[in-house]
Amino acid sequence: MQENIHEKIEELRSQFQQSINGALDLEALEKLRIKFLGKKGEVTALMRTVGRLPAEERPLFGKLLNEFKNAAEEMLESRKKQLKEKDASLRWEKERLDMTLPGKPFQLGRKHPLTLISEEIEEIFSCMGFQIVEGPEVELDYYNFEALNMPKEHPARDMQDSFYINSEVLLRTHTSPMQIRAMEAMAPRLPVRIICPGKVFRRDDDMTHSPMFHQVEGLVVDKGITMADLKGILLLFTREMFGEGRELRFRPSFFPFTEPSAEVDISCIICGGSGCRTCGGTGWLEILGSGMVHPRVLEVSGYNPEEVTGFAFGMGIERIAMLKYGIEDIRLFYQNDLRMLQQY
Amino acid sequence: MKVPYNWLRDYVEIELLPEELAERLTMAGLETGAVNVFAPLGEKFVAGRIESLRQHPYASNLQLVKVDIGNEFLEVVCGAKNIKKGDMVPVALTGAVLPGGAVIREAEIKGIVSPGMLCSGEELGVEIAEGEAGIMLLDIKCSPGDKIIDLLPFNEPVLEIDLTPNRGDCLGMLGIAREVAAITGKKIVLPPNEVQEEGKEIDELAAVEIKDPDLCFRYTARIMEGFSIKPSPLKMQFRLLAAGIRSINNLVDVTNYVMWETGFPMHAFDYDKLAGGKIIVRRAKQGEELVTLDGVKRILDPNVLVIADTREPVGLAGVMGGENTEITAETNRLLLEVASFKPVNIRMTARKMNLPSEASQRYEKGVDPEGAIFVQNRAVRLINEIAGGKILRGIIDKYPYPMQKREITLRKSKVQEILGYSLPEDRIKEILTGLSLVVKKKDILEHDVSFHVEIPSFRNDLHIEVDLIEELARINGYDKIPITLPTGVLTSGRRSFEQRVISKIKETLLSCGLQEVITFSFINPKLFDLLQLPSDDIRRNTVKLQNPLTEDQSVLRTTLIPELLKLLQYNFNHQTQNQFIFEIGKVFFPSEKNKLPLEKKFLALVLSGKKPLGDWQNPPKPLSFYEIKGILETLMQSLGIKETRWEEASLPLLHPARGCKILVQGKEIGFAGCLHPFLQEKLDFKQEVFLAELMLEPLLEACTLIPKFRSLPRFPSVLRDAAFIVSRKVKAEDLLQTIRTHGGELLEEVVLFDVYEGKQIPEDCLSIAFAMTFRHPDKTLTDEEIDQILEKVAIALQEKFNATLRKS
Repeated sequence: MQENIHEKIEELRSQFQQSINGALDLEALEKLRIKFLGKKGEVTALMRTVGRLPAEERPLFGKLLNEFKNAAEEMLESRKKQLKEKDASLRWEKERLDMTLPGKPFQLGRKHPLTLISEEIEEIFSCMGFQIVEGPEVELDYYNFEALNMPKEHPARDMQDSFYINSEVLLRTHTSPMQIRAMEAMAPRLPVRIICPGKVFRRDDDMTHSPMFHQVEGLVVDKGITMADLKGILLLFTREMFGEGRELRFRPSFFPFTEPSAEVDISCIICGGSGCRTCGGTGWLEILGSGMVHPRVLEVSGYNPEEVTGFAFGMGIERIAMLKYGIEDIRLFYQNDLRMLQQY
Repeated sequence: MKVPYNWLRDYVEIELLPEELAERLTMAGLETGAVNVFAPLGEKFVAGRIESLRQHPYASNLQLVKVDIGNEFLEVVCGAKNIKKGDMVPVALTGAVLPGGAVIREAEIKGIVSPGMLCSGEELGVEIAEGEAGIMLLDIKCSPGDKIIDLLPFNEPVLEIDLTPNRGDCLGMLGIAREVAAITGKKIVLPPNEVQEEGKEIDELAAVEIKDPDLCFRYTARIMEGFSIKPSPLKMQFRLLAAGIRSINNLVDVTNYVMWETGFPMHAFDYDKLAGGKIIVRRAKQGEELVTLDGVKRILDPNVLVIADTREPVGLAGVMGGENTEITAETNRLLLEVASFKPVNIRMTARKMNLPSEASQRYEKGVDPEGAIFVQNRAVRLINEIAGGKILRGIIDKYPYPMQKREITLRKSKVQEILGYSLPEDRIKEILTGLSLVVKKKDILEHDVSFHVEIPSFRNDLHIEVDLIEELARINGYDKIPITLPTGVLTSGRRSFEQRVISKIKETLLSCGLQEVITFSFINPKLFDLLQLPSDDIRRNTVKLQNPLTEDQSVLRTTLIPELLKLLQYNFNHQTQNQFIFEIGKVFFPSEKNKLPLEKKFLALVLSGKKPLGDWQNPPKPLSFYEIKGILETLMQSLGIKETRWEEASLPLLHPARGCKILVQGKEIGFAGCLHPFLQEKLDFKQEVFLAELMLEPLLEACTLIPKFRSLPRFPSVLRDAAFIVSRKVKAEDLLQTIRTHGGELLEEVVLFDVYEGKQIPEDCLSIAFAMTFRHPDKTLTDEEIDQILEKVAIALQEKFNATLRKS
């Protein structure tokens, strides 16, 4: 009888072996599994015959059958893995994408380049403890001129040809009126540390002048503020704005509301100071006006010039944007050609 | 101001090269560039002495001129008539290049070969005196063969100085010389002004009366006779030309020359034309007339100061003389005026008459009355030198209120306080003295030293202590000021709430793909007509500019939209079809109560084109109103603003059936919609345009930048979809509102996710589908509970809108 058992199992094994080699996909393999190992499969059927065997043969039969079952499962598993891999690699090939096709565009909004420059300036001064304040674009003659030491018929008014609404009201020609407004609001408290970005207006229209443009005004008033401090703050600012290696040059100048006054140049950001077309060969670029707040300006704003001193500065945002971005015509900023704006 | 370098050396010793001097002046506050005004002349131009002249055999209007050019004689053909034997003239030899670019070659002129050319001023690139037509006559000491560039200042470097308006004193070479002296430590040399008087006493011939001493500070006059009017010496002509002044004749040239030298304008009258021999300085009478030297008849008024004789005005004080007393070739006697007028008055007159001149420019900045006598003498001396004639005895000098000497006290401590560094006393004195200021007295104080400094009359820009500190700083060099940082109390540089909200708005719009633009604050009021704003629209009530540059910039904007539409048009014309733009900026409304208009910040959006951008799989789709609405909803969400309502309205600019007011917390804050199709047509837009404009203030009020935290739910939500068939007339918002109300507290969210019209739906109806999320805070909801709520909702919709639940 023993041979019989062996035979039977051997037959099963060879049958299985043949079938598994013939199973070419996962589906056939699964059918095979059910046929041999399923609930109603061959192994179960054989197992049922165990009762008919003599008692002493049963353990051996059971053992052999189990061995077969385990081996079969193992073979199935390995065949399955084999087939899966084959299957998968076929699938991958079918699913292959052209990774060089363009991606789907998302629309990107951008800030106006003048906003970018203005925000950069604001950020730098904000970090140094300067408050950012804003003021009216339409201004009283008093704030725009009178309080800044430019009474009616003062020749310095010629430097800033103005748009008038009436004899007392005009579009501000600079952000300097905010010096007065800020001090009036603060006096007698100290310190005053503000910058004021905003639109200003002058009757000029060409490659380098726009009837509307932007300025940033700065003002510090406190006990013991000196022109050396002005130099320090502006040096810090320009190096943040234009890079570590920049040098500053202070030239005496004249503004009615500062004394002493200084025009400030930076070493040319194009050539580094050796002289080029942008700096007109001088190696220097004029970027801002500044000075110590005039005692009368302090006085009309509520501070005693014997007790406090201050410095002020003002710069054109377009000028800086033109330098930083290499734009030569100021009017481009207001043409709002989207092909230009989308570059920033 | 143009300052010929070698001319400047008459008044101060200069060891610096022109470029170096320019640099030093610039760093002392006189922005200076060095330039050359004349075209450089090559070596092929030499002086020649005319030996003989004879008629050209074949041309009656030409001569053959034999000139000695040092080592040889040339016979050249010449057409000019102003030359004679013995004259020294410039000769261009063959190979010479004229400033205009022409090259002189041996040329045959009417059958005679000319081996060179005699040159006129024009041919040498120099505009010389009017009287001198023809060949330039070299009136300087020279020999045949001398090179012209060695004789005449063709290579004269000229300093171009851009003066700040406070330095009127530097509108004369002497002022510049003083600056140079202060910088370099040299002394200035005044030009000679001693005069040789002869003949009659001036008082016998003339008198001066100042009727309005508030406008005329000082008036001096001298009379000369017997001079001869002719071209000035070449040297003077060249100097004036280098300074940018046209040479006229020796009299006019001297007045200009001395003005350039001293900064003091002057005027010469034909004495014999002055009625009564009297000068009266007075305000003009209303309606009085004067024909000025430019031939223009001027109608005067009492704001204008005139120089008059006993009959009528003969000049606009400080601005321009009158034709009636003009110096002519027949003039025998002249009266020279050197006067000082009130700057503001001259400025007003020059502006009113639109007559800015070198003279008025100087008077406007203030001319030092103390200098008048010096200048008067200097000028007549020079006239005498080059035009001959007699300087009559005496000088008339009316000076009703002589200037008081001004003194400023300068504390050493204040120097340190302003500049951040200390200057030694000696250095302070040295700088002040170098600038011709007089340090009169020094006081030793307890912890300080103070100087009493007398200010010379020509420095009308120095009034207070800091003015002197600036002088110290600039002459010592701004580069000497140390670099420090302010010390003191720390301050917070944080942005204000408004600034942070605006940043947030920009950020949000940027992430929605919108481009920021900046347009002018002023617009053309005609745009309101173009955009067909109703005549009573509040936006038509603008703040107007008195003096706009163009009508396009003549009123302050009351809305951002018109400029954005123009911009849209511009970009369409430049092939940008997809435009998603926004602007945040101020608009302006006239104020009844205040002098200043109301300034309000507005936000405007304009969209046109397709979205998504489109790719190789999905073609882009045209925008609809719901894109702009979606962006605005996203914006509200990002600002934490709840309770936004969209109220249908027929509004200007917008499609009558596609526009709405935007309400936040019940308050109207702006509008959104599609551009009116007629406007779209009128503006030639080929595609639909969507726009919105919002006031920023209410957004700021409603905005919460820091949202309150809600704890995360502990129980799962249940999602149910339901579609209802309703009449097209029913508004989605009303359906949503009803669902929210009847969904009760357990309805967490309702989203309208589909609108369908089609076969199974009656034609006048739509199927609208909602996704509803239900959640109970403390337990998991059962289907039965949700069914109950849904039923309530369905009944409510049925009752209110006759909506039927669509069975799936």
